[in-house]
Amino acid sequence: MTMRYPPSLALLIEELKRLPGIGQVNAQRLAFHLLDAPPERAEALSRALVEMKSRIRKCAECFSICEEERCRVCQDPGRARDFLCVVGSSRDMIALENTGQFRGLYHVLGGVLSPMRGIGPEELTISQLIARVESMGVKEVIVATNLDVEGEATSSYLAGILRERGVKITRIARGIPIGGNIENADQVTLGMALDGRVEV
Amino acid sequence: MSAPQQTEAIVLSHIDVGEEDRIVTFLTRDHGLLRAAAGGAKRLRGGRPAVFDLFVHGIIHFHVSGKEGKLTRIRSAEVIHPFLNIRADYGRLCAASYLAEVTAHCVQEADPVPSIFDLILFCMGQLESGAEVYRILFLYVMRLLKELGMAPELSHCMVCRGPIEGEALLSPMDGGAVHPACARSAGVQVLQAGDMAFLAFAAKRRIESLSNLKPDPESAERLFQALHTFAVHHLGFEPRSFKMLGKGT
Repeated sequence: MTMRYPPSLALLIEELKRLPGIGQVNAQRLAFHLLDAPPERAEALSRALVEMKSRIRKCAECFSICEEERCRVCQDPGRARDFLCVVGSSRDMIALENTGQFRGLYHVLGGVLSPMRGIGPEELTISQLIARVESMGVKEVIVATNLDVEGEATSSYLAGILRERGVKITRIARGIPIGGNIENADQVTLGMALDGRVEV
Repeated sequence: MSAPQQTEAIVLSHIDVGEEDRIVTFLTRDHGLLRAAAGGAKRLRGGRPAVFDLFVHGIIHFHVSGKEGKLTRIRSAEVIHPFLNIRADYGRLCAASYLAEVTAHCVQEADPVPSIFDLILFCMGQLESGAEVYRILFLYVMRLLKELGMAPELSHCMVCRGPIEGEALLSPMDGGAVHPACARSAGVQVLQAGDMAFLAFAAKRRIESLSNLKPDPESAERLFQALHTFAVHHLGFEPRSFKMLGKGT
């Protein structure tokens, strides 16, 4: 006879399986871990989930995630408002912000153009980007979408529509990562590194 | 674990798994569709993410392991052609995505179809070199239907069996051309006399000579739309990227 999980545990396993990268075995492992944990641990997790869902919203200006009307970067009066860095997701924005190298503002597209996933220009915040560029007097837009096929096509698309508006469009550099070896790099990356060489 | 194997392949799609890994769907010359785990594919240092990017044509080295030989793992890969120009143009990305989606639907795992491999490679090469998008899509669907044994019958009316002369309708339900007076089903696409003649001519050409066929852009778009409707009916599949074609190019 097959042993069945009690309904509440089975429900938790089913919910955990909906998370990306979590299969049946991992879901069971996590569920049993929570079952064995003190009650306050499970309550804290549950509270964190509910609070995150109720508090997180999109910044009214740049569309990154925040808990206020506008995110901290958009609220910061010290940021250069004529430099806009366009990213695909809030995670990319946070990664760039953590470098401490950029003092302008961001614009989060909410993804990249992906015909296979049914994501076209209308599904992204491109019209809002155009409106911001026009209303804020932006001098330079730095396109920092991923350097894969869809990120590159998104960058080309944005360059096409923004260039008409007289804005300088730049793209983040491509090439060998710091600490990487030339002999281990693939030919596409090496070719782009040569194309993007700089005078020293 | 099986002995290492290698094959020529083109990346049709991929999904991210975990922090650094990818499951990549390849169309291969020798093994049909191949879904394989590319461990560390997203890793910047030593992960060689460019090799597993969409539409990249290369050589993959892989082995099969796991129970019932179900887990295919990529050991290494080299790029033959990355088709970099496709990523520089959204319209070409849409067209390449259409080719990839339809191909992934039509080819089975462990069932190689070298002619379809050559076809998608030819079409990617044409998109890369700047050929008109609808011309490539039209040639692709026409040739694919032929390779799958689903090409529309164009020589005579599928209803009355009379010869087709002048304007005709392409009827997915009837499996080919029908006279306007004989049309009896929905979804038929009107083709002008010139389009019909061009379609019949192009259907007989070999793949190597397809690049010489250059219908005008309007005609190529009409032919593609008609063949796409025909293909959707017979393949039972509508690619998502179809709706993106012609937008924002």
